[in-house]
Amino acid sequence: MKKLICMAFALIMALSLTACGGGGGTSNNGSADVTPGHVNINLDRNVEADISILIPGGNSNEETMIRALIDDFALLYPRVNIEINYVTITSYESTIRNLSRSDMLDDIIWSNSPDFYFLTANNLVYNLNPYVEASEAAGVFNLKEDFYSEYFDMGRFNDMLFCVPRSADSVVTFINTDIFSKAGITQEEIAGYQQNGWDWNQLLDVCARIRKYFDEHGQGSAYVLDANLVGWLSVNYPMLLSYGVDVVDANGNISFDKAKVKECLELVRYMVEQRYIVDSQVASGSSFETGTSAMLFQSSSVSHYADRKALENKVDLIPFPLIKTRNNPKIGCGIAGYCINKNTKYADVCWAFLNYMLTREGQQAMADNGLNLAPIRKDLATADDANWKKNYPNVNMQAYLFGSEYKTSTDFLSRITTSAKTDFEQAIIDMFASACNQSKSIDDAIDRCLEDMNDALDV
Amino acid sequence: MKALDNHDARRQSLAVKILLYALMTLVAVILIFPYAFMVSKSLMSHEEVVDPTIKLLPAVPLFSNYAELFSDSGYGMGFLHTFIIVGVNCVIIPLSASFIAFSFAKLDFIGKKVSFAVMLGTMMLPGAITQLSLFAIYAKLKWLNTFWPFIIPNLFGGGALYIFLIRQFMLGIPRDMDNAAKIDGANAFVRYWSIILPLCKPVLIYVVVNVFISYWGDYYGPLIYMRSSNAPKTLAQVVFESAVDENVATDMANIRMCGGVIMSVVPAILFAFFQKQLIEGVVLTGLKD
Amino acid sequence: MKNPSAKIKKLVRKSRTGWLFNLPLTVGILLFTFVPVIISLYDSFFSYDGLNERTWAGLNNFIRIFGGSESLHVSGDKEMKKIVVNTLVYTALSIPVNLIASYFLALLVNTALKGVSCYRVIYYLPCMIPAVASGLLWADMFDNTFGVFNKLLGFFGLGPYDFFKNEDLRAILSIVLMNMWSIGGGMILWLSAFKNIGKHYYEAAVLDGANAWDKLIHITIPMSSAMIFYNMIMSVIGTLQYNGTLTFGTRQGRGPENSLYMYGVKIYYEAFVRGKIGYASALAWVMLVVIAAITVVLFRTSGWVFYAEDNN
Repeated sequence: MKKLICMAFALIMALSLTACGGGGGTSNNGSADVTPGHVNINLDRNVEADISILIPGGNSNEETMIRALIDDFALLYPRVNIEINYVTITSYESTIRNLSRSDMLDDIIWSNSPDFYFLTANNLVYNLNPYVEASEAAGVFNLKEDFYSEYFDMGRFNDMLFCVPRSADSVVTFINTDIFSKAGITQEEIAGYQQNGWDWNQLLDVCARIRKYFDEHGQGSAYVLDANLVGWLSVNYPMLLSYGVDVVDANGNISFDKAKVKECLELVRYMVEQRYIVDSQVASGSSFETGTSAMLFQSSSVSHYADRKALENKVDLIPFPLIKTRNNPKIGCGIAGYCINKNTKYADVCWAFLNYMLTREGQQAMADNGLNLAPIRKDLATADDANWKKNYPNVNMQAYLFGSEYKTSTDFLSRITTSAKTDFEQAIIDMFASACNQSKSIDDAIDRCLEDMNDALDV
Repeated sequence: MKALDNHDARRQSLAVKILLYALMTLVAVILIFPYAFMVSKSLMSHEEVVDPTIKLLPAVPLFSNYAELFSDSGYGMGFLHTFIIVGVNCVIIPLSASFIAFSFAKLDFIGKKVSFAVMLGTMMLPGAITQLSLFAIYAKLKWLNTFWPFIIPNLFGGGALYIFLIRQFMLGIPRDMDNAAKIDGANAFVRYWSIILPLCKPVLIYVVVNVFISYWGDYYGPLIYMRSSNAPKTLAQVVFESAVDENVATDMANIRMCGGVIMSVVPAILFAFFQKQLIEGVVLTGLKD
Repeated sequence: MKNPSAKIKKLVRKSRTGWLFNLPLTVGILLFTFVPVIISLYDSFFSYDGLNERTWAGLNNFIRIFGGSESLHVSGDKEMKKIVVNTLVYTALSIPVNLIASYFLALLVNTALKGVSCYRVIYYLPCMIPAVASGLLWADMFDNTFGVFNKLLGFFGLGPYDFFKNEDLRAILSIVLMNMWSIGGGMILWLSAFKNIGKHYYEAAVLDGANAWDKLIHITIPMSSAMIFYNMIMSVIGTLQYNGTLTFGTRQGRGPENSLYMYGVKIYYEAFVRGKIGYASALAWVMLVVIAAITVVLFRTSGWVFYAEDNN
């Protein structure tokens, strides 16, 4: 019996040690060397490779456009086989973690602005600068001239490019033209805003007129603007920046100027008091989707709203309103794109695929298969034959491209430790939610946010 | 509230009967509400379902939602894959669990109590403890994107609860039957296979039905282990994926509800059919042993 | 007479068959439970994010759970207090409410009336709503203005009540209320317990002139005490680990002001959202010890449980 127990114990220990070893030993990020040694951008047409690409699951748009790219890419490199794998966005980090420590991480990895910092912080993906340099040297493209390079900047960390954007995602104002015209906002006004952009005061003015129209027509419970303030950093953070507040400074320390934050939140509170934005404690039957709210801050593809029955021929776009109080207006935007796994055996092939994604053909193919967002290439922005806007000739698609100089991503996340990231996001979102809740004090909300952020760092 | 048995029921006055029916119906109306709401939502248009005022009934029932659910490809294969996983488990779990339960109920061996206690102990483990390492282990074994994570572990009894319940049932089988066979020289395998196992029918049905229900509706497991586009996805997973459009981070709630209805119909029918066995299968006598 | 060593030999020989039958369980537990469990125990002494090398943390993870220590420079986890209160309140309310409600439900359908099995199916239906749909469904029904419960309250001139969106313990109360719809699952187990009570007890009681209440108090409840005990243990195990708020609660199952934040969600959140696998493992181990301790206490105090040895 004793022997039996001893043997069993030995077996367990042996097994667990193998498993532990499997977990920790193969950690692929002991060294921070993420720059590929030598790169080859002139692949042989008959190169053979089996690679896989990780895309968000349950996102039919992303899947169809990547499939279209894969099909076209197969014509260029017939012996490259690309398999699609899925990651659930809501469990992005834990999936990547699982895959990485099991050496199962895909060769090409989808990423977006907040999640991107997880990949770079853990040295999971390649620095793509050598590929860009080689491509520019060979005249394949010129990054600054051919592309909206600010989106590439969002894929950078410590001056190294880790993520290649697949499109230019930017927050815009979706408007319901039907409600606008009923409230007496003229076509010319709208056209002016579309042409030159608009500022927050103009937004407030429009809000006031629509509020008046709603109230005079028995729609007291309808709200003017779906501002996406209580769940989306891509609106919150640019607003804070516009007021001269950054969440953390260059050294990763919290740099929250309470007075300035208060100014920003008071603007939000004012809009709630005026019933432009819904109080978070008040349930409202009003939403942009159902055609009962006049405006919405969003960055998603126009097709998502314009194709709805309630919004047929009623959707148009205006750029995000600029907050000019402190002469530092910002527009939220983010990167959605692809990275290359640092442990891939086929980095050059992966780059060839990403490079194809950036070509005119690649961008057109994606636009034809569900990507109704602004392209990353400048030449497609205005081209008449551009696929990305052909289905919406009456919608001001240029709004996505307005104001390059104002664009900002939630880059403060790159300056804090990964484990604190979600708590920072939550703290800021909670603070804005309190600002939208008239029963709460703004000062308390700010203190609370600071406290939560400090707690997050304190581990 | 009354505990009645067969004999008494006949003597109940009409008034009590009516009262009981009224009470049962009232409870039924309350309890069925979420289910009815799910069915109702599955027939709503997208506008109705996202309408924040929350409607109870669709203006016009849209049966086309179901067509939309099934218009996504992959349902046929999803059904096949679920069928395989469910089918295999409905055979191996009752067999392996009863095999192990036989050792606890009818055999003596050194360390039996320890083994039983350890088994019951595994029921207390928080799932999070094992989940993380299991992924690494399965990945090492190259089991990702295959059926194996859903089958191989079940060859070892399929969970403490099933073994425990079968053991309880076996304890209720009179010793004489077993002993008679023993005297006739039947070895343990023969006694297990041809005497005890056939008598365990009610609890085996209980196990089969529960195994069916848990694997039929499981989408969480497949979401973790079947990530490739070439992986054999299960029906529940396909339903889940076609009902969640992560592109815009909103749900197609109506389609999701269609999936919910479809997924729940089969277990409901099973339950209706095997109600009697489900009730008879659970025996807790001899818990003290 | 046989000597003792022959006896032992016989037992060992018998053990061979027993272990043969037991082997699958032992192997299964070793492979798929012990290995992961030992890894997680190991991890709980490290600071580990699942990607980078583990760094030794000694008992720091555990000290952090239990409020930290200034002399050791380990700060406490400020979330823990609320989590423990929420979890305890939930457990203390949910277990008795559920057991009693499902017990009475089972009594109600423990008759031979025509159509009673249809009612049982209906009562069981809410348990069949798959996870794919249930989260959204409950969020809608408990909506603070437009949900059906608030419409109902409004009908009686009450409410609106915020349910899950409450910032205090009332949020926990809402989950207890929601769980009332899954009492059909418990009903089955009670029915099987009733089934195993010999009819002769009731017949004898009727001869003694007992009414329905007497029968319930003196026969049904004591004779189903084994099932009551079993259900209590299983409920304690399940309820303390409850993480169902993940599917319907705001802020990833934590609720406003963490009003829904319970231990099961905490483990999930630390492991999968914050990526602190070492800390999450420590949390899980503390939970395991707590559950084991409660189970032991329940068993030690189980003198009231009556095990009928002669079921028809």
